[in-house]
Amino acid sequence: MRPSIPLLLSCLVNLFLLSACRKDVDNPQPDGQHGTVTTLRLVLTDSSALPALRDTFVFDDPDGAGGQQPIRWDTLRLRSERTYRAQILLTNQLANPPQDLHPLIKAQGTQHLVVFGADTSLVRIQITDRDQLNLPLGLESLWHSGNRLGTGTLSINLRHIAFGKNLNSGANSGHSDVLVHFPLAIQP
Amino acid sequence: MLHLIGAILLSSHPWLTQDMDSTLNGQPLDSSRSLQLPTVEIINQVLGQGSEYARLSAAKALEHSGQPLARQLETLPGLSVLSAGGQLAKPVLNGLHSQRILILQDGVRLEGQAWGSDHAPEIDPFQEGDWTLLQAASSLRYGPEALGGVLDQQASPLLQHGHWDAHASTVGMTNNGLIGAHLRLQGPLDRRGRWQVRWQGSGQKSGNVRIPGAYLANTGHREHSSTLELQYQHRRWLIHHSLRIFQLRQGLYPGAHAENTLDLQNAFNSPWPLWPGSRSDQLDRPFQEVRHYQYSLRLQRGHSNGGLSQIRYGYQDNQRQEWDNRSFLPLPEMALALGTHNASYTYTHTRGAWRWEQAAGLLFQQNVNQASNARQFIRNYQSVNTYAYSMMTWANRTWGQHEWALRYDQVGFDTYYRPPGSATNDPVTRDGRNFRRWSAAWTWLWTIPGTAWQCRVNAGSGWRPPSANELYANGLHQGMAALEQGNPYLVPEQTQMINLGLEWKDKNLEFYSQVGLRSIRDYIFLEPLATPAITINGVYPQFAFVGRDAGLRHWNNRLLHRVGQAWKLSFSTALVRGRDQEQQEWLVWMPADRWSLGLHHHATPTNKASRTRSFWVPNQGGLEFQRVAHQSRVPLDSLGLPTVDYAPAPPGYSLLRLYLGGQLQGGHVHWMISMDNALNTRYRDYMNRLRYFADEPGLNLSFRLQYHLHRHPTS
Repeated sequence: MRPSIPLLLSCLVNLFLLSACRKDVDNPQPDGQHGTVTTLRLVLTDSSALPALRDTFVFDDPDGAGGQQPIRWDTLRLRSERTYRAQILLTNQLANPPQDLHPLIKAQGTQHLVVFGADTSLVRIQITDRDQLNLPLGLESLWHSGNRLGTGTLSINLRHIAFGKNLNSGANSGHSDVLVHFPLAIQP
Repeated sequence: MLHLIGAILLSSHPWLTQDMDSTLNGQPLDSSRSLQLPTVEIINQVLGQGSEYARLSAAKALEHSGQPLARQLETLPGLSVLSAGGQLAKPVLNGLHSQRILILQDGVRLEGQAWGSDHAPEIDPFQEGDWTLLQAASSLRYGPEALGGVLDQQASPLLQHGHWDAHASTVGMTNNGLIGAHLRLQGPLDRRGRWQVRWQGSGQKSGNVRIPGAYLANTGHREHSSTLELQYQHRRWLIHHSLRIFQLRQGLYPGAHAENTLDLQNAFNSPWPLWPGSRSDQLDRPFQEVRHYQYSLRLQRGHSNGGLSQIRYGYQDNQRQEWDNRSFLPLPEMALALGTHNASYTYTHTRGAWRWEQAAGLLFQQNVNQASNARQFIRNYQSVNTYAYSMMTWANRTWGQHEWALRYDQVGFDTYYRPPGSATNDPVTRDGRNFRRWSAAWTWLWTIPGTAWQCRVNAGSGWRPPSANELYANGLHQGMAALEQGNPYLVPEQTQMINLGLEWKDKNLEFYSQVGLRSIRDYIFLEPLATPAITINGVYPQFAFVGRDAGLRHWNNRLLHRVGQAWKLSFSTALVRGRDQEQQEWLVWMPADRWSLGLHHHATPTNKASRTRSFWVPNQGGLEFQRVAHQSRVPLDSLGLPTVDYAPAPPGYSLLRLYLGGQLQGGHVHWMISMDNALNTRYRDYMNRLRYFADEPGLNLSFRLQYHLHRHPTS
């Protein structure tokens, strides 16, 4: 007797599996890189001026964490002895449509902190916004330019602190989601 | 469709219509006492052990159950481990790993390795079965790239005992609080034993790894696996189905997910982990999730002329998601699915001292990026590999056993891609290429007349087409703080190799030594680029895949000396050298020199004293000392700093392992306690990518308990 029933069963199982081809292999999704930051916009508002002066500085790296160099990298030009209200806006231009990451980071504020690095004789920065645990967040801040004219560098570092963000968290906590060094010039 | 056509052809073949003898060698076959299929016996007889290089028995592997598979295999000569922490460990054979060696389970090659070097094989570490290391001629059955070696796990035959059998085991570890359990049931489904079934399932759970002085955050894992096998055997027929499901969620140490060189430098300069954890089994981002579904079918029929036909079909679906710790969205940063169909027909025939094996097959593969708007580090691709091989074996008392293999492969490879920022209806970038080459290998096993000395020669030429990530990778390699660029101009690697082995085996002494030379033209590896990339995440070093001529040499030795009835002394060494022959520079990521010394005691069942001992009195135990040297052979600049690596190779280290075991009278219950890293040594291993960020695990005490419903002799 030939084993016809087991053979037939085997063929049926295999016919079913052969239909398991992935039909969408030649129609790929665009490389959206969700969660990647491609563009940082820094909006500085000088409310002491009349009318209020508002300027936007940009770091634009369209391929995100790709190998191409950034296409726009502004120099921060501030006037001396002024107070600016600063707002940081982050977007992912690779997504279609572009993704505004600001509300996402704000919602996950207990895991994020913007750390600023600058020569304090040129500019002093004070974080004004808070996360859900009332800890500093840094997407909004006040910048006080000094009376010394000169140039330097100002770094904006968004730290992702997945575990244990607290009042002592700083540039060595967690890891970087964003790290940009802007050239800085204090002008009369 | 191919297997269907094959099955129809097989069914309609004239020699299938003739009546089969109901006896073999005068023995009735239709009874559960002669359950071993005659065709299987034929194959085992003629295969011999010509190309088999080493074997790890299921019983030995169970001593290390609960550990990642690659760690269990480390006891085979020439095997070491490439690790990315936790369960993410893969075997390295004489300096080769990933796509350069093949891992088989029940004859199906695991394709998840095609994704790169930081992906572990999807195999249940509790899975029962012997591991065999194949080289040269018999390895060419499985692919031209298999010339690096094949690690083959063959499940033990289903028709062993003719009755229902059960096996249960459990393991617990103190270091990471691992608990695991495994259950296996097998037996006949009908009175005559034609239908046999085996089911096994296992689960494991662990928490944070403890290194000397600290815990590493988020380093636990969850793992589940289940296997169902169904076999029909009647007269000369064998039909074997196997279905496997494997799931793994492995937490990744967040400190290893450095996002730029500044983070990386901070981690290097800190003697302690920057992300200390606590004794916890909580899993959070970042983590890696793997789902692996595998089905295989083997249709086998023996012919009255002594030949054997075999149709094999395998389907596997590998799904992998990588969840980074940049959790702006509750979505994986990368989600890949790789589906592979594998079908082949093999005909084997034996006549006198000769044996022939001919096969033709097809391997069809599709890789798809599944997550919407995710990063596409590896493009969608489709690959069709058609192949045929012929193998010939000849054995003679004077000239030993020879195996010759010849193989031809044709690979069609197409990729599909839409660049970042595209809309879903934008045109697709398609890139297609074809590869076709011959491979050949020869194995010679010769016993020096009148002595216990055996010589073994393996030689061959094989090749490997570049993989998708080597051709098209573009962007950040998750967690490695490096930008990797594929190279679409890469050509296949071409390998020439020769291994010479010498063995001695008698009652008291086993000695094995093998030297090997391998020349690889257009060896593909990552090379650093001079200029780092400035991105919005910071500054990253850049690496690009290149193909250069390389040479590898290895020398492995193993000595086992029996002292009296129950004591054994073991000694083994493994040395590998790899050179970039164009740049006259050492190759990176080659295992450091290592040697080990062990003293083992095992009271055999014939020992009267051991039979009278109680359950709690151990009948086996031993200690193993392992020394791994500092890897000084790495590419360095004029200042002695590494040129291709982030950090200098760590210093050498020594480890001590102790173990003790016993069994209940009757042999139904076994227990074992082992102590790994018994001196709680603080060390880092060159082959572990986690070495940049943290030490290796400290002291670990393991408890293992096994229950066999029926006692059967184990090797």
